Amino acid sequence: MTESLLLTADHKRIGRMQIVLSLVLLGVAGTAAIAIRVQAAGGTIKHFDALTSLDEALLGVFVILPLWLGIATVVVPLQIGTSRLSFPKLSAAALWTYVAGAVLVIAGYTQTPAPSSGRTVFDGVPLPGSLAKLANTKGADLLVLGMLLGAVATVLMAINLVTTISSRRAHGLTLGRLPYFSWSVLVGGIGVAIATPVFVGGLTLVWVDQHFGGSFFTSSSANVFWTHAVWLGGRPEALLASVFLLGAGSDIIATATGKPNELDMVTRAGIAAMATFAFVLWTGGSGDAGSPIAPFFNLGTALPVLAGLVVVLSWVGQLRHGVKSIPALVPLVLTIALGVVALVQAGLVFANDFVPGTGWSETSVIFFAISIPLVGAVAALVHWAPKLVGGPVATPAAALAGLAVAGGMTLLVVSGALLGADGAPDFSPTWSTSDGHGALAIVGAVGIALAASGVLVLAAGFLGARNRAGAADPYGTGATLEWAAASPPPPHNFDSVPDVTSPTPLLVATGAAQ
Amino acid sequence: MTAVAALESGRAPARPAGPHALTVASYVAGGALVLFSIALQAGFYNLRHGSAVWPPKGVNFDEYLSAMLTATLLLSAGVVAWAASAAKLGNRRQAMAGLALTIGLGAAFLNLAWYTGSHAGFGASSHPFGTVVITGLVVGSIAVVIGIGFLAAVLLRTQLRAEQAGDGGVGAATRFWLLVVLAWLVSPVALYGLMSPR
Amino acid sequence: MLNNAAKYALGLAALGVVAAIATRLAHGDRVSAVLLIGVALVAAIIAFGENRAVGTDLTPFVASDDAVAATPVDPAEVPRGSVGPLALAVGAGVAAAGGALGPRWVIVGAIVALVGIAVWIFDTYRTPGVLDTRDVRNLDNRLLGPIALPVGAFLLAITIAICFSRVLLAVNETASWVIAFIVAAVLLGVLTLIADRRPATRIVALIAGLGMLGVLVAGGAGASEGERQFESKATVIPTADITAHNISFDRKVIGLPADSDTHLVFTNLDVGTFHNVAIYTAGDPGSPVFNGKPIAHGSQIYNVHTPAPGTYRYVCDFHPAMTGELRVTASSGKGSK
Repeated sequence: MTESLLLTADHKRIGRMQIVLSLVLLGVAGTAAIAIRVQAAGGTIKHFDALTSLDEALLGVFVILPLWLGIATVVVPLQIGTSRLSFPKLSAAALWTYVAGAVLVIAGYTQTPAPSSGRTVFDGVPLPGSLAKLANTKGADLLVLGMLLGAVATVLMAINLVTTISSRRAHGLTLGRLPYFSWSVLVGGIGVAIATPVFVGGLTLVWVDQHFGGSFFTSSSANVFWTHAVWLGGRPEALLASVFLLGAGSDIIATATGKPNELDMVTRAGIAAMATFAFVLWTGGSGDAGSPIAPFFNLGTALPVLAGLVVVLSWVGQLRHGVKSIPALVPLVLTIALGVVALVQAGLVFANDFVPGTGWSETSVIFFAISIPLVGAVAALVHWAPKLVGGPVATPAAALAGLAVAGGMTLLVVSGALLGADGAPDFSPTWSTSDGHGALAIVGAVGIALAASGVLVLAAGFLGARNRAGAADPYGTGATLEWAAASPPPPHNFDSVPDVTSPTPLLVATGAAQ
Repeated sequence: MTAVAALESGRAPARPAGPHALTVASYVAGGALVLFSIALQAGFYNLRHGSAVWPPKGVNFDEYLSAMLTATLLLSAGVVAWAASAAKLGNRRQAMAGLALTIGLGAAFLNLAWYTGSHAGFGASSHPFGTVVITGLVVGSIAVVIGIGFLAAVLLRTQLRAEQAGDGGVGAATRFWLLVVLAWLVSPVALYGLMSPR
Repeated sequence: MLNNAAKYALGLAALGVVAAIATRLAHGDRVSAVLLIGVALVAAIIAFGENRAVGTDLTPFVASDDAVAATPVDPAEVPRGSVGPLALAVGAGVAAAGGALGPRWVIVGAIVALVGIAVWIFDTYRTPGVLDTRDVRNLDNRLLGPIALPVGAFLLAITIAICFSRVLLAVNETASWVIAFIVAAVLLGVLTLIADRRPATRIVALIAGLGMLGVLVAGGAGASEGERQFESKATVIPTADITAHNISFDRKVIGLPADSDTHLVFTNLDVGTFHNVAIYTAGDPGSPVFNGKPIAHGSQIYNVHTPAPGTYRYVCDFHPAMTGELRVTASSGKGSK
C-alpha cells in the first residue's frame, strides 16, 4: 500500500516533489521575465513592479537552492547507505512549508494593489529613496512573509540533511570517505544553515518596516544592511548552490572515469573551500552594492571562484585516464563552459569600470547565482535519473536539454551584458527602445523560452527513462553506495548495506581498484 | 578491527534518530537561531548608528527590566546544565526537576517580556528605538517558546520511557536551550551598549 | 582529533574572524563586521557539535584491508507518513498570512499548527517499536489518566459549550428551543445505542468526529452571525464614535452626558500608524481628563467616565494636529451617535 503523497515521509518521494515544484516555480518566474522583456521591446512595461518582484522573489528563494536540496534529499540517504533521513517527517514539514511560502507569494499578487516593491525586493542599488516605496499593503506583506517561510523551509531541509550525514552513515563510511555530493551537502548545508537565517532576519525587518512603519530600511545607513541581508547578490546563498554543483560534478566525473580519484583530497578541500569562501560575499561594503558577486571585483570575491577552479582542475586531472560517455557528461561540460563565459564576462565588467544600475550588474548575478547552478542541476538530475525515476536518461535527450538550458541562459545573459555595455538603463516602466535595445530585450526573452524548452526536454527524457528501469547501476562504473540500491530504490532503499572501506566502495567490491 | 566489523555487521543496523542525531540537529538549529538574532542585531546596530539621538527624547526605557530578563535566562542556563548533568549520571528525578524548572523560568521570561513590552510606553512604530526594542522582545520570546517546546518534549519523553538509551535527548535539549540563551544575549534588549544614550 | 566536518566549520570560523576585522578596517562597514563575527561564533559552535557527535559516532570504522561485510536492512525501518507535518506547514502558512491579513489568522494558524504537532507526536509514538508495553503502561498511568483525560475533557466541554451557545444565541428564541431539544434527543439516542451494544469503535469515532466538526462549524457560523437582539433591561450606555483616517479625526465635535460611564468607540484606519484619543480640559494641555490606549489599527472601545459639564478638547497624542471638541452636557441620556 502506498501512502498518499500528502502524508509521505519517504525521502525519495519528498525530494521528487521538491524538484518538480521548484522547476514549476522556475517556469512561473521565467514567464514573468519573458513578459517584462517582450513588453520592454514595445517601450512600455505594464505591471512592471509586480512582474519584477515576482520574478526576483521566486528566483531568489524558491528555485535554485530548493532544487538542489530536493536532489540532495533523494540522493544523500542513498549515497550514505541509510533507509531514511534522520528526521523523515521534518523533511515533509519543510516541503509543505516551502509550498505554503510559494502559495503566500503568489497569493500576494491576487491582492489589489499587487506587491509593488518592484526592484526593491533584490535591487542591485538599494537607495533609501526607493526603499521608501515599501508600502503597507496586504500584497507586499504576503510577498515578504511568503519568502520568509520559503527561507525557513530551506534552513529546515539543510539541518535535516546535515544531521542525516552526521549520524546515519553506513558502517565504515567515515567523513573522509563520503561521496563528493554528500560531502558538498554536508559543508554546503552547514553554510545554508548559517547564511539563510540572516536573510530571514532581513525579511523580518522588512516586514516590520512595512507593517509597523519601522525605520530599518528608511534610515540613512540602511543601504549596506539591505545589501547583505536581503539582496540575492550580497548573500552567501548565491554561491552555496554552486557548492552542491561541485559535489555533484565530482561524482559525475568519478562515474565517467570509473577509477578512484587520485586527487581525492584536492577535490574535497576545494568543495569545502568554496563553501567557506562563499561567506566573503559579506565583506563587500555598501559601495560594492551593485555587484559584490563579480569575481575579482575585490580580492575577497575572487576566492570562491578560485576554489571552484581548483575542483574543476581536479576533474580535468582525472580525465587523462580516459573517460566513458555517460549522459550527464554533456550538461556538466556545458556548466563548465558557462562558468568560463561567466568569468570572461565578469572580467569585462571589471575592465570596463562597471556601472551599477546597468545590465552589467544584473548579468553577473544571474550568471553566478542562477544560470550555472541551474545547468549544473540538469547534469545532476540526468546523472541520478536511475534513482529518481528508475532508468537512465537517453544521452541525446540529456545533451539536448543541457544545450537548450545553457544556450538559453547564455542568450539571456549576453543580451543583458550588451545592453549594459551600451549604457542602456535597467528595465523600467517606460523603457527606451532606441539603438536596437528593443531587439536585445527580445533576444533575452527568446533565451528564457529556450531554457524553458530545455527543462521540458529533460522532463520528456525522464518519461523515457522510466521505461529503462532495472539495473542498479546502468552506467557500470558507479563507485558509491547509491549504485548498490535498486533502480528505482524500494521504500527501504537497501536490502543490505555493504561496509565501506574506501571512498569508492563499489569499485573495491568489483575489484576495479588497485 | 575485522572482528569488530564482523560483530557489528551481525547485529541489526538500527541507527535510529537517537541522541546523536538530536545533538547535531540542536547545534545546527541553535546556531541558525543565533545567527538570526545576530542578523537582527546587525540591523539594529546599523539603525542606531544612523540615529542622531539615542534613545529618542522622552523615552525612558527601564533598563532594570531588560536586566531581569537577561538574569532570568542566565539562571535558566545554569538550571538546564544541572538537568543535563543529572541525566548523564542517570538521575531521572533530578533531570526532570531541572527540565521543569527551566521551563518555568522560560515562562517567567515570557511573562516579563510581555510586561516589558506592554509597559514600555511606546510601540513598534513609535520610533526606531521602539522598533528595535519591541522586535527584540518578540524575537527573543519566539526563540524561548521554541526552546520550551523542545524541553517539554524531552521532559515528556523522560517521564514516559521506562528505560532509555543515553540521556534521552536531555543533553540535546540543553544545548539548544543554551543557544536560545545565547541568541537572547546577542539581542539588542540585552545589549546595553545599544541602549546607552548618545 | 578533529573530524572533517569540524575542520570545515573551524575554517569557516577563522575566515569569519579574519574577514570581520578586514572589512571593518577596509570599509568601516558595521553590518559586515557583525554578520561575519556571527558566522565565526556560530561556525565554532557547529564545529564543536559536529566533533562531539560525529567523533563518537555509532558508525563503526572499517579499515581498508578489512573483510567487507554487509549489514541487512529491516524493511520495517521505513518511516511511516503522517498528516502532522502537512498540518503544521498549513498552520505556519496561515499564521504567516496573518502577518498581512490580521491577528485572527495568526490564532487560527497557530491552532492548526499545534494540532499538526500533536498529530506528529502521536503518529511517531504509534510507530511500532517506539514504545514497548511498559512505556504504554506508563503513558496511561502517568499522563493519560492524571493529566490528559481531565484536561482534554474540560477543553472539549468548554469548546462544545461555547460553540453550542453561539448557535443558540444566533437564532431566534423559538428556534433555539427547538434546536436544543433536537440535539438533546439525538445525543440521548446515540448514547443509548452505544450503551446498548458493543460499539463499533471506528463508526462511533467517525460519528463523534463528524458531530464535533459540525458543532465547531455551526459555532463558527453562529459567532459570525452575531447575537440576536435581547430585550434589554440594562440602561443604554451613551456612546460616541470617532474614526482616525489620513492623520485626522472624522468628527470635529462630539457630545456626551456629564458624570456618567460612556463608551468612546475609536477606529483607526491608518493601519500601522499609532493613534489614540486623549481628552484635555480646554486650554489646559497638562494632565488629561482621559488618556486612551494607542492602537495601530482596528477599533478600541474606551470606557470614559465623563467629567463635569463643559467643553473639552480631544487630541491624538501622537499627532497634535488631530484634534476635536468634546461637549459634555448636563442632561443625561443618549450620546450623539
